[in-house]
Amino acid sequence: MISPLLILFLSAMAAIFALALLVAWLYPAPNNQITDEELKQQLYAHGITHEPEQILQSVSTKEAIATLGGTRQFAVLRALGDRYALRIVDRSQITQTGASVSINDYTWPAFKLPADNAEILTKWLKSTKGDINA
Amino acid sequence: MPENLPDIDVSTWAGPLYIVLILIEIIAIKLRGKGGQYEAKDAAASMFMGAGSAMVNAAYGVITAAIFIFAYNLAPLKLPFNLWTFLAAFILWDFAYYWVHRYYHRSRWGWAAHVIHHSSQHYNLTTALRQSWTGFWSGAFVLYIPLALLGFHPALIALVGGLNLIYQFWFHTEFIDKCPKWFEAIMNTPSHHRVHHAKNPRYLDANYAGVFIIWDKMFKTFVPELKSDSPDYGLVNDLGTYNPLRIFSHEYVGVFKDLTQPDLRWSDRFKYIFAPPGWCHDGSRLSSQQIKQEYLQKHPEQQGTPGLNI
Repeated sequence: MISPLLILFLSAMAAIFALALLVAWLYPAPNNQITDEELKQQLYAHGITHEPEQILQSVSTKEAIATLGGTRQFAVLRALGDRYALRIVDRSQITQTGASVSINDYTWPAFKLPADNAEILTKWLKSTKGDINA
Repeated sequence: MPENLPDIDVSTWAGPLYIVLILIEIIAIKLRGKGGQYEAKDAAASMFMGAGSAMVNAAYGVITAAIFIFAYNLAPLKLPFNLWTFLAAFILWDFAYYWVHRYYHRSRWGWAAHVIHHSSQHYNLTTALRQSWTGFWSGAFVLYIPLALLGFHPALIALVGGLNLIYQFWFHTEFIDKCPKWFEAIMNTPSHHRVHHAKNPRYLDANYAGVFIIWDKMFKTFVPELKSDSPDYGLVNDLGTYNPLRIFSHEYVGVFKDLTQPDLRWSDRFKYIFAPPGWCHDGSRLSSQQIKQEYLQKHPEQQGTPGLNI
């Protein structure tokens, strides 16, 4: 009983692997780097009218975090193959440990910022914390 | 089991059929240069979710079969297997499917199981395979039990259920624009189902049908695909991962986090499980109706257009 199920499972995995390779060959994923322009475009596409102020790119350039003008919120954008995912988060949702940044979202892996951007984020988080406490 | 009921396990030939059709779509889109998009990680995640779903459902199939046999034994009338009972079972299953699917979208417990199917930002044949691993736990199968109580044999119910699912595979494509008008009027088609997978405000909570689109027209959930508002696929809050385990479990994790918040009323905890997705006690999130209302505040000229009659 187990053996046919195992064969079925392994056949399915082999078929998935082969089809994924074919897709990767025929439709190579663009090496999306998040630019300021892309972030603005994604905010607009999501109906968010606030302009990003300063944009910090991650080490991999697949993520970016930006302060949103006129708000105490942050926009976080991730490039996923040929698509993007966006979150608008409050300061309380962001956890920074050195250069590593997490938005405490189960579907959103933590990402690393270059040292200078990590410093800037630390300052942002401190300043917005001050705003909230004020 | 009725003697003349063919012993067909549709799942045995569905798998190879799906693979062949996916292969054709991948190549056809490339040759044509339009009609859909593929991305390797997305397609792999979808197909892996499909394989996982098939394995899990095979395991739960034993339990659901026992439940349907129990219900069938309670039926005062046992229907024979013939063309008419097959057609009746097929149509009744599809009617029940409409309500199952509506429940999946209108109750967060159902949505937690079904959200997997909507979690891709692509819309191609692999998206059809991105199926739930927890459909059994959603409890939705109880809506099919009346078929057994009406006297349809569980093997016939399994057959029409399998055929229903297979029908739903082919319309997960952008390669086909519109079908003939008479077909679009009665049947679920790629155009109708693109609407269902879109997160544009006007398309939210629309077109729940499986095979016959007439159920949506009857129960006022039908929205046609508009050329002026191209479907934008995925979730209102798109996932930031292709990890199948996280895709499968993320909404359950969300439910758990929500209902374990401190200082909540018990009624609020209940609503975090069963109220429509997006419901929250503090107004920090939006339900689909609220998303439509917010959209109409920004675009009042759209009031009264399809999907925005609120």
